[in-house]
Amino acid sequence: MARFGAVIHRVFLPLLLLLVVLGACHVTPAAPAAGARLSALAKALVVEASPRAGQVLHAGEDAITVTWSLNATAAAAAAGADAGYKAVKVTLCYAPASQVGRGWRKAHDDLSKDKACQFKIAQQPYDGAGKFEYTVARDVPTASYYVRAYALDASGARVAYGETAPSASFAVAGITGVTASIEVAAGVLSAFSVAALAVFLVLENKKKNK
Amino acid sequence: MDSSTVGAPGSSLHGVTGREPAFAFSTEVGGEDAAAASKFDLPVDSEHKAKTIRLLSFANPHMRTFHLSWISFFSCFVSTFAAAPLVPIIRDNLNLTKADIGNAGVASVSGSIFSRLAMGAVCDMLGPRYGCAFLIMLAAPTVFCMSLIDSAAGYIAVRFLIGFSLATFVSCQYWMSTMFNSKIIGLVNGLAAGWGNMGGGATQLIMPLVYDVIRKCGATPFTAWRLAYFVPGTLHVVMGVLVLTLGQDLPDGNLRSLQKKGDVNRDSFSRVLWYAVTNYRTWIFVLLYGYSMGVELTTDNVIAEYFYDRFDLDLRVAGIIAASFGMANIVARPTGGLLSDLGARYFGMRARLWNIWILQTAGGAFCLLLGRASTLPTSVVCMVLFSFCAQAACGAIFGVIPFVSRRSLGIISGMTGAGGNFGAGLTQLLFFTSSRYSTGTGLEYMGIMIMACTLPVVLVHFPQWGSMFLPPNAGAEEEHYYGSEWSEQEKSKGLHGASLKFAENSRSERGRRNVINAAAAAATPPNNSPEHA
Repeated sequence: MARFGAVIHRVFLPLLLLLVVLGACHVTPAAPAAGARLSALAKALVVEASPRAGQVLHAGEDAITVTWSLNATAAAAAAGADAGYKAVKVTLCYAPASQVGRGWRKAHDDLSKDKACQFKIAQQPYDGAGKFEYTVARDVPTASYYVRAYALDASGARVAYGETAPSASFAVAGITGVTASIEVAAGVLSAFSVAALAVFLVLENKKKNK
Repeated sequence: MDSSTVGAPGSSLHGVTGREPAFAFSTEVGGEDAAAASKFDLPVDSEHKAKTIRLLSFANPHMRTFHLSWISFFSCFVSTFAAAPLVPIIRDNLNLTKADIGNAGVASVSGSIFSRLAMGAVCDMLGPRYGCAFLIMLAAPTVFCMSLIDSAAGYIAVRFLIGFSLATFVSCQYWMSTMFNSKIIGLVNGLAAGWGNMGGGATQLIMPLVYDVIRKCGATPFTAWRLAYFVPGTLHVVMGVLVLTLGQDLPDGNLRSLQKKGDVNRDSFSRVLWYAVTNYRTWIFVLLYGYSMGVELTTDNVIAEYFYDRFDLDLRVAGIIAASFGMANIVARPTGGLLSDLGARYFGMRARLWNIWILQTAGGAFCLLLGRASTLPTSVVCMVLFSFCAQAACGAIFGVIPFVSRRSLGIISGMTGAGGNFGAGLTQLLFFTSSRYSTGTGLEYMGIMIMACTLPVVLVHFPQWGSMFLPPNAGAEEEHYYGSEWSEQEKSKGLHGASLKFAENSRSERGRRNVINAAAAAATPPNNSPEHA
């Protein structure tokens, strides 16, 4: 009993403490441009994506062509309004239909809390208008998406945006992740487990009956 | 320290398996066998069960059994909760909604409610070694299946099937009781249960680590988590083989005599069940255990995802934090039992009840704070304190269970264990399946419910020892309480002998003051009625 107490005090408590400290001391990654609100940004860009509404793309195979340009009709499109735009960041965002029942994909006006746009398609210097061809990555899950582009200023803060219509979203069929070798390995090991049990039973029965 | 004295720390866990002889055999240590002493590594009693435990030994058969047994149970916990830290990846791969994830969590703990009941019968028929090996090796294909699923329905179904393996708890405890003397079986089982439960925490460390390594080798996320699942699966197969090759049912390795003994120890099942079910204290402890062990299992299922989403942590860091929740079981659960025993030494059963209430209510308060905490350090501190209190409460509850009934101890232990799983399913369903509120809010509500559902412990009243607020009834005796479980007919046949002996030993639950008075009273002349404090 005293041994047990000693083991607790000398080994496990420090270990536990270490775990707690490790967890508590980890620095959380800095939140991006805390406080920037989507509603405060000017919708100064026009973004178009090649997939039609409802089209299904296959992850790892199909490609999206994204084009963006300055919105000629917007009030903010007075000459020089885009002088502050230094770069364009294009992201793939979950459509509202794919956010239902999934709080980890929820869109939020406060961009530091927004979780809808999780995949970066491209980041390029701003040149008035641009185009990018993106092959859908293999880690993009099955869902409906639309494309949003942010205009960034020199410090990397978002100052304007543009997006394809979230209601006219396209779909991506993600990979399953199941490969042939996984199937084979799972089958072999399962069969081994059951067979080993059966073999032991038979052997021990034989020994008992001898 | 002499673990054979009544009231010694750890002694209160006596009977937690219900497999200890409550009927035909006494709990007294039998005569020493000189030949046996030389054959075994540890001192043994007349049945060749070990009288002490040496944790760092692997000697055959006692310590080897201990380690095989708790590691098998540990690996079942690892595989049952292996999905939890990987949920952020799995939910995208399988297009899961919060409801799917919640339902899978409920499914993972529900299967074992039934498998634990069946496991008792399997151990009776085949012995604990085969019971354990059967379950762990037949569960291995279900773990490998997890790598092959591609829909929400498949996910829920496979987690349900894997959950059946938690019944190794029963085989583990049963196996220990064939190897260890009843005086230390409480401590041994408490250690094994705590260390097995630790698997729920270890898996939150292991799985993200393995996942990370596989990712670094070039696999995509959706393949990497499937490959990571081969680790718990292989652990099952390895442990199954080890149990079959290295384990033995009895200290002497002889299965047949175990089956012979089983015939002698037969009490009437219907009577035993009746006394378990009609004792209101049983139901209160079922509820309480549902809100200590149950919330522990639920938290194992949700905490990694919670930290990942709320604080934008990397999967591995979320896993480390989540792991410290389950790993606290190494010390927390036995500590709860120790505190119970310590309190009982001075203040008797009333201290044990207060101990449960304090620990579990504190756990609920910390759970509430955990849900509210908005910074990472506060959150982690609250989580660690919550885990310690909830797990200590589990240990504390099993410090009282052996005293609720002597005859029906096995069934009450089993029902309490099932209550734990039921509570886990219920809390997961109520608070972590709906999209109407976030996981943080769910934790708040769970904390409030824990505190509310701990209140019934106030109602537990032992006539001979009292309750939290009431003193013992005047003139009430332990013999009367334990004797009331036997009918007059059974008493006339002398079947209640072991219960009477237990009643005499349980006088320590009166607390130090009262034991002294009782001892002094026992010294008075026989025709004076003894004073009861």
